[in-house]
Amino acid sequence: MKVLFYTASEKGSALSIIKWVRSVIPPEDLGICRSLDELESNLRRQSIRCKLAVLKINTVEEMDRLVLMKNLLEDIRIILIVPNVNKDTVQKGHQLYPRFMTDSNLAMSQLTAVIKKNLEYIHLSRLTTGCENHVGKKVRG
Amino acid sequence: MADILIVDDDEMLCRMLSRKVGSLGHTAACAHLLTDGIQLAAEGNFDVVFLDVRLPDGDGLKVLPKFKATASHPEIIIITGEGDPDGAEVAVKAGAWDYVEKPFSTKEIALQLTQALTYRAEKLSQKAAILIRHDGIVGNAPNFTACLERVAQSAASDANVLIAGATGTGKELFARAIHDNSARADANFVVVDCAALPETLVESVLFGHSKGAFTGANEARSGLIKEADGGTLFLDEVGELPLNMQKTFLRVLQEHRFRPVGGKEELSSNFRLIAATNRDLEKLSNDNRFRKDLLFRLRAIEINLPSLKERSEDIDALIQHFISRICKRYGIGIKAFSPEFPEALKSYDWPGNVRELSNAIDGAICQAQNQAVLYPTHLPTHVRVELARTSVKGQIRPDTPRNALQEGEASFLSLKRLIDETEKTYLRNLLVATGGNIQKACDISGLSRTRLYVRLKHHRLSRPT
Repeated sequence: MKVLFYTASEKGSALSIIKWVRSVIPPEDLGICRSLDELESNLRRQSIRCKLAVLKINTVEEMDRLVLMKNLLEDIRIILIVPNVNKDTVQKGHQLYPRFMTDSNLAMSQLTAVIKKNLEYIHLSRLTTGCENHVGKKVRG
Repeated sequence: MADILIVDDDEMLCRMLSRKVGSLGHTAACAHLLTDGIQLAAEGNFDVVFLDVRLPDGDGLKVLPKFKATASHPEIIIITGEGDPDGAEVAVKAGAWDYVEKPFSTKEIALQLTQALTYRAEKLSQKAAILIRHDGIVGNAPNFTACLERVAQSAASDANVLIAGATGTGKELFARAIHDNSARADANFVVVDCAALPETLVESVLFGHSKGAFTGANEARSGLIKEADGGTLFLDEVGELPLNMQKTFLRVLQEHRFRPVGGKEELSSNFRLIAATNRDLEKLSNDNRFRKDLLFRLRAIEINLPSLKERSEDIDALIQHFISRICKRYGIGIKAFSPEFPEALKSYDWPGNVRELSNAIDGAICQAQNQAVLYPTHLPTHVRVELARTSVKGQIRPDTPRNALQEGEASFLSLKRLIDETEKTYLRNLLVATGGNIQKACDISGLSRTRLYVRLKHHRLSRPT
């Protein structure tokens, strides 16, 4: 499993993103986590060598807990969807060193373009360095 | 009075230089081989080393970091009769004080020495910058330590920094270390990954946008430049920044002011810029794919990270670090490893550098499951395949003239190869017979000094110690 998608809610924009992610990433390479406990457990599992995490955070509390899990997210490319763009939230978001940070107001087409570009980057990185980051090779659409 | 080391195989030049050094009130020591020079440098307390490039036992530029890493951290002045712009670049990047070409006048060399000693005196009187926080940065190789020193210097200033290095060498870790050790540490470290942003989004992501500025801009949004106000803006893979954005960004870098997309007013941001690249920006700018003026702005301070192959002595420490970190993450006991495990890792080339090493160790830990000890067999397949190929190549026995003749016509050597082998044997015996005295060897062989050195270098022969 190379891509982890986190959302505590499968409503609204989260549902659209899940549908899109499912359409471009093979099921064996995708893990969907519906709680931060599940995300943490997946990040600690040896069989899951996650390369990209798309994290849709709905509340400030979730954000605080995610920051505490920072060490588990090292070496993983993060696309972060934050609950708001308040100064405090943005500051916490940057502590995770995301490749891209936005809120739910971003157009779906733009978010998918970012995810796609990151998947391609990971695939390219595997081709040029031999690292086993082989997600992204089946990116379509 | 300063202590000066001269490493040059030209004995006459050594004598001349020693006399000049003595006349300036300093003490000189000489070595005619690199190995002797390094040993003298390690045992002594030299202030300046005059280092020749082409010596019988190796390339002075390649071991320059070893001289720099000795206890006294001497200033290095490269001297060579075969200077070239690339060599000069390597010397300066490796931290040489200067690079001078033979022939030079004693006046010229005296000036260089005086300047180097003045610089050194000033440097030593200043308190060295120290890195307090450098999480995840592991290594003690001289070329790596030199980079850490640059990080410490960078953290103490507010100048733009360009970190160059191949994929996986740790550019972002170094950028974070600069930020974490700087006066801006309490503010944001903002990553702009130029390779991971669709071109159409770059402008609004960097500068922000007003509501309705374009389709999908439902709300006004501040950009990353504003979010880096008071902190550090890290432009990763800056070589991928679109050309039209380079022009706009150059202005932002000069004035620290910008206008959000669709915005009417200019905003300001007091950010410090660190950029990183795995591309040759100089080459890109020569090809008109990267603006020269931006490149000049970016590299006020330049840090060139070595590949893992160039600091293979750090592999042991990195193995320990990654095993500990990865086992901790998985909540399992720290795994031990067989003696062959690090040896196998050291035999591999690591094109993906430290990141690939980390991935390989992660893979080995997963593969080992409940076993407490890691063996080479646990390494990822692509690593083991490459190791097996290398091992097979190493076992192919080169033909020698004698066995070639014994094994018949099919295995006859080419005439060129036979002459080459014979020359090597001749030169080896010549060095033994003359006790390594180059002048005697020239007299006997009839070769010029330069020609003799070229042939010795070709056969990788050194004078007997």
